[in-house]
Amino acid sequence: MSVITRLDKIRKTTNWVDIMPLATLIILVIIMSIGSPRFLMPSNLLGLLAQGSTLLVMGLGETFIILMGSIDLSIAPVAAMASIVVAMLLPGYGYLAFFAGLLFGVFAGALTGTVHTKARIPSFIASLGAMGLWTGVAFVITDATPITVATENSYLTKWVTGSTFGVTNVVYIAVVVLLITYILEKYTRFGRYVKAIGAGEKATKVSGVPIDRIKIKAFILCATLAALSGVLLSTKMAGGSARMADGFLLKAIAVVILGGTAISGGIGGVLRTVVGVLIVMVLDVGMNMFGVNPWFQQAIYGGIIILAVALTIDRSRITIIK
Amino acid sequence: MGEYVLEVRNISKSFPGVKALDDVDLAVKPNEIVGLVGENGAGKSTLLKILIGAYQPDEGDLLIRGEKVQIKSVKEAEDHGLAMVFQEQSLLPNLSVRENIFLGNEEQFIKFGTINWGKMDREARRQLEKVELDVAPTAYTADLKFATRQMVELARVMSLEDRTQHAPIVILDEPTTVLEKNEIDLLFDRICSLKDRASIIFVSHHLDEILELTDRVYVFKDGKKVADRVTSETSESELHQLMVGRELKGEYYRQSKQITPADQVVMSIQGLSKEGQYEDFNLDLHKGEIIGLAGVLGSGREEVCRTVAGIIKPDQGQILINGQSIALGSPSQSIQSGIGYVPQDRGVEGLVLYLSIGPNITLPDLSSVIKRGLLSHKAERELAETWIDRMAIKTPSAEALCLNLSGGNQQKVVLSKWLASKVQIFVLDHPTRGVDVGAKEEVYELIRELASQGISFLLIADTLEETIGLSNLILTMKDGQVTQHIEAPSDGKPQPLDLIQHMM
Repeated sequence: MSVITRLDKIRKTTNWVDIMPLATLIILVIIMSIGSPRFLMPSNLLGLLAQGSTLLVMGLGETFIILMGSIDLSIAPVAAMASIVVAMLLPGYGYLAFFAGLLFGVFAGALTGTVHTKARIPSFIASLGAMGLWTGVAFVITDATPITVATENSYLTKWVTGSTFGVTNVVYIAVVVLLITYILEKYTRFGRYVKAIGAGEKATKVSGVPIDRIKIKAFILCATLAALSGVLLSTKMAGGSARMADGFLLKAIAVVILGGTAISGGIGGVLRTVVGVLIVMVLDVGMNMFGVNPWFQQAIYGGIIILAVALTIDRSRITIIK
Repeated sequence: MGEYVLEVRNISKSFPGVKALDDVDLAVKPNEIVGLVGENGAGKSTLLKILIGAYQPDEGDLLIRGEKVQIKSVKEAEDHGLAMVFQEQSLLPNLSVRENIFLGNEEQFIKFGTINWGKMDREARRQLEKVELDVAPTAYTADLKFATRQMVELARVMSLEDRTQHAPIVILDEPTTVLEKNEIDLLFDRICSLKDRASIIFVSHHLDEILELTDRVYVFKDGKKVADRVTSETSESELHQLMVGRELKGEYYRQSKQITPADQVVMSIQGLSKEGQYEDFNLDLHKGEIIGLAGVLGSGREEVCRTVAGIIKPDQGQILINGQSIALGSPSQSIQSGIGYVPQDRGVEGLVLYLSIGPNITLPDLSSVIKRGLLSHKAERELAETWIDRMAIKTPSAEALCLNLSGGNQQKVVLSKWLASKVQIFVLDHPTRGVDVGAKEEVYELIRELASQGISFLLIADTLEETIGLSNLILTMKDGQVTQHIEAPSDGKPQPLDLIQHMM
């Protein structure tokens, strides 16, 4: 009886939530291609993909955190810090600068994850603190001035900015990251445990899963991918800056949630985030096409996040919202 | 006013795909205690939810004191003098007793926009007296014992008497589930004395309680009312038969299948102590043995079990598994030593409800489904299907979330999880709680079968009868100490009274 009711309800909501993001994307694409015949041209679409790649890399990391039922708010300044590390080290150390940028991500993630788990501080607060920390550090070490990489070093960034078979390399990088995160999510212990923690942490703990270790790993993965997106941005912008990833936090969370990963954890995955990124990219183009004030676009993404959560949240699981 | 204070007439309620209640009747006379029994899924909780306004019936009428009413919320139900004492208590732990009693009904104490605490104190005391509870109205609810909180809740319901100027109709939903024997006695005593000023609907899994307490009893099965009986004219076996459609066997706990354990000690607990919880706990668990821990709340038996499971880290002592000392305070250590914990709170600690059966079974040990370094979803599904088959788990499909399984089937998944991890020792903490009668017998059967295969059990049972019925040896505990070892061979089971004297 009531069991089957719940079953029906879940089946219904799940189907709905499953289909919604893709349906939204298709509808948006149709609207766009009617509004502008140029929209569906391959060159335009490829440009879109290149733009979306950096956001996808960041969103993929955040997917694991949200899937776990946590949140990481520090990704944008971590990306900015990575871009600064790259810009500072590139002239002297060459390719090693990119590794240093990624290494910074590993460190930042380990720090947030450790504070969150060992000091038993909610991830929301731990990562909010980290956001403040890295923003501050980024402004101080750059003296609030962007660091530019001289053009004679631009050969070092070709692995990102160059093209292969007519497609910008950054797209291939994003695809490789997607592949790796997909395997991590679907076919490894780590992915399974992340999902289990999000769906029911206590039972997962009683089953002997080392919760803290998995959580720290997830935060390291997320911050490292945030740092990678910072590295990608630094190559594109030929420099590093404390403001490099401004606006990315909102969008990175938007792509995860718009894709259909539940904010309450346990449901979702990286493929959904791909759909989320595509939606955001189409929206971006659309808003520019219709002349929406670029500053106001943030407000629209803020509204979209709330709307997406309102439509997808399973209120039977969260009876009280705080 | 008619003969009845509450009448449920021809009520039906459907949910997508299922008829939860089908043309159900129920009536309660003034000052009557009416029992309501049925297996999980019989429709009891749907009816209760309709009575307190959480659901609206599709068809049929509700009459209170002869008048047709529509109840749309808990508040409206209370305005009619109808209220429920919830199984999983509804008091707010961070508020005082008096605030809880009058929560949502503070108007009478408000003067110039502020609360007159003195008046609320006096009124709260008056309500507490009705249930003969001696607790300060200013005490924080969080500091009270479960049984005391339940009494406070009963007092809260009885305060409707003054608000509505009618004798309240009190619904008690499985009130004895987490109570110990002496607390149950006390509760029954209070219910009997409240009978003079209230009508009571008493819902319980325990037929003996229904027989002891009620005047009449309704039996629900599959959404229908299958019988109503005057309690004095029925028997446990008749009720059981009506509920499950089969007769209660004399061999409820499968005593004839009880084996004599081997001499080999699989787990030896030595000098285990945890301040404020238990002290100097010692035990030798033999291969195939079932040791039951008996004791009231606060006896420390739950904590001992949780320590063995690795959830609580003890201050002193050690646990030897097959002679080897193991690291304490880590669930993964206990699991690696072959210990599987079946917790009391199945939905929170036993299973990840939002995962399907396969991922739950493989949670402690994924290695069996990892092929060439990658998790094989095919192997996992096959493993799930194997266990669904072996344990006769009733599920719509192997992919269904555990959330959608009944209590008994969920418990089978928990047991499968540990069996798949090849544990040799089970720590069972109320393994049949919230499991319906038919499924209970399956669990008993399974425990016997596993014991005969050499698996050992540390058991906290739901009732004393269950403890006695299942165990080879019973340890009684009181205030954190073991007070007595009582042998319970299949041909010489002790009586509940033999245990109780060492528990109090």
